Amino acid sequence: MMLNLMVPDQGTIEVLGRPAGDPQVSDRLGYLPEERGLYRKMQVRRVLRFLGRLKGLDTKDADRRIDLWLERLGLRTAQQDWSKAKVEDLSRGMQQKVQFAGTMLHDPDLVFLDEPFSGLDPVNAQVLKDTVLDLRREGRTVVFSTHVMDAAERMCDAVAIIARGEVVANGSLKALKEDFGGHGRVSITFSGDGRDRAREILLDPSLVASIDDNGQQVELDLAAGATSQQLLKALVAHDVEMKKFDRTEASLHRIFLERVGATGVETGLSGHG
Amino acid sequence: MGKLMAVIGREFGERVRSKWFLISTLFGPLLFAALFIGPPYLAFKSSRSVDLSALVIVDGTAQRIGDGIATELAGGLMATDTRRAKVIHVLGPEAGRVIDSLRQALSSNALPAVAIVDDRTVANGDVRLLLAGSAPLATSERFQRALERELLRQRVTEAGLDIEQAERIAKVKVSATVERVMRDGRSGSAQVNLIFGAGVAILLYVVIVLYGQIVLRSVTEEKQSRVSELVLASVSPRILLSGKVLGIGGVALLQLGFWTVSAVTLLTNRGRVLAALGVASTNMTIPAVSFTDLIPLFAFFLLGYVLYAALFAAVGSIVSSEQEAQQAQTPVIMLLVGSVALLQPALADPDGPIARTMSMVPFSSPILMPLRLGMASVPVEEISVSICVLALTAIAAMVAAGRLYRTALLMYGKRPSIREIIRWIRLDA
Repeated sequence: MMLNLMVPDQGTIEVLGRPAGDPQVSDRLGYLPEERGLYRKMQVRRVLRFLGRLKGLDTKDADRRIDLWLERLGLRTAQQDWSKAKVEDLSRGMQQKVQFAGTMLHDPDLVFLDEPFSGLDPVNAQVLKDTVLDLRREGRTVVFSTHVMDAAERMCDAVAIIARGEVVANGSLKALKEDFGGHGRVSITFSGDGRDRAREILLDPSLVASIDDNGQQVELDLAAGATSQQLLKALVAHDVEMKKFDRTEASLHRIFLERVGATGVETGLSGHG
Repeated sequence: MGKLMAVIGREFGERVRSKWFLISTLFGPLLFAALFIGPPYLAFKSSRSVDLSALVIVDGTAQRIGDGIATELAGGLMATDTRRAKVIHVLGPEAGRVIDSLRQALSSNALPAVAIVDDRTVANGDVRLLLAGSAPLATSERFQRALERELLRQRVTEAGLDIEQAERIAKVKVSATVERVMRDGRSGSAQVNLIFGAGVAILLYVVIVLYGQIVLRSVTEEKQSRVSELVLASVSPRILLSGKVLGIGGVALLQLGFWTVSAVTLLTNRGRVLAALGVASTNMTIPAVSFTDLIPLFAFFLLGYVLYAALFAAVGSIVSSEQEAQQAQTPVIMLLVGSVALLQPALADPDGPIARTMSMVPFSSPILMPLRLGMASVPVEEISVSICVLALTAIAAMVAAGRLYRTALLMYGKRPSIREIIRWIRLDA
């Protein structure tokens, strides 16, 4: 709707201070859809030139920027210039890079990237990731739409989680972790017969909400009202031998599961956000 | 405007650059050449295909008409051709044996043809022609003409008349020149106008179907390859649709223009080309079409194309694959085929109620009105009303298709029902 691909049933949307769909706004936006698609029979340069012209660039300017972006993404080197190849002759990863170049050609102020790393090999994914981080450094806003929480956690400053059409969490990553990170996450590595001695405590619902059991090493979420100190105290009281007792932050993945409501995961994590 | 030009430029440029365009554009003149030059040239070639001077005539008549036929075949008494058909005079049972041996010669290809003439030939013109190969029509016709002349000569001589005189008396040839007086007072041949009108109507039908299909395929491809999502993030559906229709229309005009120029050049130089090939013929007259006649023709072509292109684009936007598109386009194709089915009644009576009504209906007017314009004097008011109705319908179709486009292009899977389509068109209003 921000890109004016769909019309809202009600209400208005403002993007960059103007109504969505305003031609002046659309020229300042860049969009990489999840479902990649380019004109397969067209030459790479002509496709990019077309995409550039749709964003208001003239042919000469577009050509200059095409060269820059293709060089930046490794599609135009001294050995090989892919700009003259047809899109269908390129590998999937290369096509994705071409499409990314098309998204960035007009220097957008606001960029929407929908699952930008899907289908990319690690090398190309790294190239793209570096470029996205460059954009952030340049002061551009990048809106990432992804299901890969790990990537979002590493790259994003702010996160909004949308489930069933509703925003269930929204804010900076730090604030989100504070607000929705649960009552704390603890990682324990036992030694000796510590794991057996701790059994009862780990099953106490007043202390532990959920547990990820890996034998001598467990990760657990504290129950509501419980603190890591209480847990540590209980463990020490039971003379549990430990190598490590570590208070960690909840991952975005965890927050997502908790907010969106996962079915079929450990008890205590289900429930709708 | 720049974005519209970008879409037009892409649609036009990519299509003109394609091999398909090059092949189909060049195929036009080749087809015209085959149509205009081919038949007379082939007829000429086949008339020479059996060498009748090597013919053997078995003459079983008392009047010895075989000699006369041989003379006629060689070009008459004044002929300079020294090669003559061989005549064997044979009467009674001997004839059977001679014919049998000649049959053998034919089957071994030693002889090209044998003609057998007897008393029945003299009495009622019955003649048997035996050929070594298949029988070209021109060969038997040439022989028949020679026989007719010889029999006529015999009968005329018997009656005591002069052959030249008799031939002059027998030859009555009627040639009618039918003229149609044009609106601006000039004259034009009625047949030529009929051919022209029907030709233009059929050409428009072909171009609309051909290029409508290209619009359909282009939309389906864009939807299937998901490019439409990318493009629609930059331009409005209306610009994308207009650019597509105009760009492909430009390709149609370019191709049509090239075909027209090549057809006119070929027609006007037909005699010269045939003469170079050794066939005597004349140039064909191009119908006198004034500029004022061309304006409505052009308007009907353009508006007809836009109307159908919008309909094809709408079909393309609601389907998810090319196979589905083939089925879904049936209603649009039926509208076009229906118009062509009306060509015959319109040809029979260009001012009749069917032709007049259907040339007002926007779906058939782009095909039927040009036909009527070629054949009858259509009042200016009728032309104007027809063009206005067509223009309004074309605009409405473009607007509806544009609205449908936004929603339909991003919908995959199930094909929408009519009710849904109407809802989508209204939704964007």
